[in-house]
Amino acid sequence: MKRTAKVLGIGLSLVIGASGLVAFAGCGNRGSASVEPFVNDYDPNQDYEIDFLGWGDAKEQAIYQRIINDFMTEHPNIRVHYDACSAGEYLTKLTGEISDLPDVFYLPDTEFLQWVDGGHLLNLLGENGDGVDQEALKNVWDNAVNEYYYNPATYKLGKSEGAGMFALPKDQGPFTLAYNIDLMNSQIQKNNLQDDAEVNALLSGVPVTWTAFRSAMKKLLAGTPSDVYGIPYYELEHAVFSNNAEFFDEGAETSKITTPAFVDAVQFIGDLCTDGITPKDGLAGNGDGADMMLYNGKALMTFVGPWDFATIWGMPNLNVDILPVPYGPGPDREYGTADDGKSTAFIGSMGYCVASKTKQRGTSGASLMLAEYLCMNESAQRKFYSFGQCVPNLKDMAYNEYIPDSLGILADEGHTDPAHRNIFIDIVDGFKDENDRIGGKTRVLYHTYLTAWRTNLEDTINQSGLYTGATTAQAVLEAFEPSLQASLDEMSEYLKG
Amino acid sequence: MKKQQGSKLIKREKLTALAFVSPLIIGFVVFTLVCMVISFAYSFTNFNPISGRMKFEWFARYAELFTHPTYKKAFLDSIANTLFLLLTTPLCITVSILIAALMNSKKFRGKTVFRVILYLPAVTSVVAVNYIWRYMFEENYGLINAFFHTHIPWLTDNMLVKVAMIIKNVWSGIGVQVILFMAGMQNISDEFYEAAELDGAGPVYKFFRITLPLVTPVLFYSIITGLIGGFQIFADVELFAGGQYGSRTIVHFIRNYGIGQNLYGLASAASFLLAAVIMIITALQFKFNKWVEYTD
Repeated sequence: MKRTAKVLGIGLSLVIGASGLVAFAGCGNRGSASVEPFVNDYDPNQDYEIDFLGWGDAKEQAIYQRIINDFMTEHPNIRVHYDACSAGEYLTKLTGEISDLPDVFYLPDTEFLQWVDGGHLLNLLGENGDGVDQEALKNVWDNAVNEYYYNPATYKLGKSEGAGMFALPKDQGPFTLAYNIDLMNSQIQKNNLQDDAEVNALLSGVPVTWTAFRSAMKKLLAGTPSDVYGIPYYELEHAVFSNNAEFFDEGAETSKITTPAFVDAVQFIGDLCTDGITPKDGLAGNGDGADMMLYNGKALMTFVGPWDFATIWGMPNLNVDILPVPYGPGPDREYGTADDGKSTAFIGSMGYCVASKTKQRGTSGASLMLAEYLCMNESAQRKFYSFGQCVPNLKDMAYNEYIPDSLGILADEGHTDPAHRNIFIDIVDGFKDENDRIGGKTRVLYHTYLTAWRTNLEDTINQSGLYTGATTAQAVLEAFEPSLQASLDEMSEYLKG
Repeated sequence: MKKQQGSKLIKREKLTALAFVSPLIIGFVVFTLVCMVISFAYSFTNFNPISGRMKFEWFARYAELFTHPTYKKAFLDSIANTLFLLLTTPLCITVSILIAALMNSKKFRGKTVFRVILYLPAVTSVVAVNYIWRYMFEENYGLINAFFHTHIPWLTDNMLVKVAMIIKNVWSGIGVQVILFMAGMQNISDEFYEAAELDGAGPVYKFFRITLPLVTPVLFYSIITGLIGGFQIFADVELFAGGQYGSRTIVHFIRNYGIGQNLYGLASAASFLLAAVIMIITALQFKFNKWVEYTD
């Protein structure tokens, strides 16, 4: 018995020691992105097997499977094994497969910096026509393409000299306001607002000022039960970006949250709560609950993405249209000047990445073909928009086909909303010139290595008493700034260290 | 010769026994022990599986939990929330003992039916339970506010969300506890009660002087398992409270701030602190368990 115990003891000690050694074996190693040009060793006469990992509900998975089947029909020598899980589980699953990544996989743009810096993504730019089809890319939204460039030498995101391209855009969102047409019309009737200039401007599809937005919403909400709101919550980024403000400087090194434009943006969100336009939990009320409030007639409007229309179309008594987000007065705090804010929604969602290490020679070429197909193939893009999955990535298709529904695809399916589809396209196409009032900007987490600072900022605002008028945005943001600056310093040091 | 045969037999029996328990031991070693050791080692590093970086930094991650401007407040608040939510255990036990005592009385009719009803939450999906209770507590269209004609922000107020979680968890925990306490009570010999009745003892006296002391082993087990489970609450935070600030627990911190950001060093340090606290509390409970009446 004693001998058995001794043997077991020694065995366990060995296991513990070996485990500790295994844990520390990687100390000091660091992955790094490579901008080596893509070498395409794809051979059309050889058979390939590709793993593709994505996420989505059963409906989205079915849509993807159909499009992948089309791809395999076009390329009979490539067999794609499509696997998907829920959005909530996705990153845990992907991280678990870090040492043996799928050949092609989704990557949210908010995770892009960590993954590209870690050297897990293949540079898709090649020489002599080897890499991604540059000619076809010219027809994809510029900001969507530029988003997935990275230069490991300068740690700079976006297109720059010496940068590689590490993903192809899945879609560009965007995320903008949508309103319940029937509830809105009923409030207009009830409050005799048919000829009200502010209400008509709000619904015209042209951006309105924050002042006009608050005023119109207050008029519209008159006489509603206490559980009906104008909007369930307000997106922080939409307020900040639409007031010409930024969270930090270009390199994400210096905080800018105490600038007047940023402070005013947060105060605007607080004022919406004190006005009773949003519930008292302000930023906290986002998520599925917000969508449900729109669907159930408990909110006049909320933020939606094109993907939400797959659900909206499935609701027989729900009619929805979209709006551009309102804009603020800008840093000088006065409307009608050159630095007025522009209606800016956040854009970007995910990229299709090809793993930097593939199992079989030539697989990266086949993987790139799949990523290109999903991102830029006409037939695939047409299916995606007709299923309410996203707006087209292709500029010509968006303008000539999607907005006017020139092929009658949406009409045939009975999908008339959103009537103002052009707003989605205006946003993803960015600001074309000084006079363009509607555009989009990449989500702020895209620019930083870690995400906790953003959670903390929202938590601080939510817990501060701003929504009850007990404190001001200025006081809240001044108190939070040292914490944000410390996070920015640390993230910058970590990335460059 | 006989002695040799006997020793061979014992040896063979031992090997057979080892063969039977080896799957469990291998499973424990591979999936628990090795993972624990690796995680413990990570807690002394800044390991990030995505960047591939790992630098040995002694107790830096443990210190960060209490000093780092990004993590300190979230971690300390998660501790406070977790401690508050531990109130679930005494409340659940108190209600369960009372229900078990009531159901254990000879006059109580329909024991089987009530036992099934009370046990239903234990066999219902955690996801379903959390979502149903979420709709019940919802401020605008929840059943509870609708019934009382109130507008109580159960799910958005930092304190009320914890109260709501406790109510929900007491409800879902009662079934198992009642079964355990009833089993404990049924083991108490009727002689004790008969003797007490002869001495003129009433039901309250019998409950506090006979029933309660004699179910202390079950009570002890319930307290230990309840507290260990209470320290590890996670699903409720996401599913029931939607991640509301006042509901966030230590495990939620580990998931969101550690693993969610690929900061495995930080997640491991927080996990080991939590494990250490659970172990200390459990050890203290065993050390001071003289109040538990172990009878044959």
